[in-house]
Amino acid sequence: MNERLKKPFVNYDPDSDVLYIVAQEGEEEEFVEIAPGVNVELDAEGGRFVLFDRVLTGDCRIFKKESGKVEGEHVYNALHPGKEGGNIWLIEEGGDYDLTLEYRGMDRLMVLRWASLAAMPLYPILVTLDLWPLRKSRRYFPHLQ
Amino acid sequence: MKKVVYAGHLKLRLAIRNIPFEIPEKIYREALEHYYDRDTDHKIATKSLRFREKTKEVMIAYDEFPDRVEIITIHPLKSKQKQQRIENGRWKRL
Repeated sequence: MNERLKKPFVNYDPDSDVLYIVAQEGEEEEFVEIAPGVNVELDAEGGRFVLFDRVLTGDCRIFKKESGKVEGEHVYNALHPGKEGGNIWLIEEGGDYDLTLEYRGMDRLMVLRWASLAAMPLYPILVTLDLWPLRKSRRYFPHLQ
Repeated sequence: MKKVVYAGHLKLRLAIRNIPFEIPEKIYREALEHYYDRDTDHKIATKSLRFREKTKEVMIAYDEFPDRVEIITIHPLKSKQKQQRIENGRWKRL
């Protein structure tokens, strides 16, 4: 039986330049490579993540350069407590072990969140402006003559 | 015969994933298929073996030095994963 850890731990082996994030102990059934050299280990229970899961769903900041090759040391530095900014990878479990992978810049995400709150009073006007060109379309307003 | 050493990462993985300690060296010594992984710049050895009451193909990634072989990691391998890597030219047979 695989055992989920209360807190994921991170190990960086500088000799082999491998970063390892462990969310759950136990047996690995298979692995999925999400980027060259970045592997997610899966257990036998329907593709539940053995590795990464909790780290990525919390508010931990993970990963890496926006594109290009992932480097262990770089990732390790990004994980280091107190490090500001960086990107986050979100990994979701899909059917038949498919993975959806995306990253978000945390700073940009916060800016967007505040901007959308600040713009709330303008929403009725924006929605009206948006719909105005469609006002005569029967497709969108079939009840109109 | 070169000395086989285990990377710190591999030792950790063996402990966490309940993999018998002797398996990586056994794969290196007995594997009939060795590859060079173009993307990670490591060598790969694969071998089918009886593992957790199933026959599975298992791969190791290793680096070869003049005096030793250092095994970095180990993973159970799906046949389609191996086939894809060979077909797309990522793994070159040694």
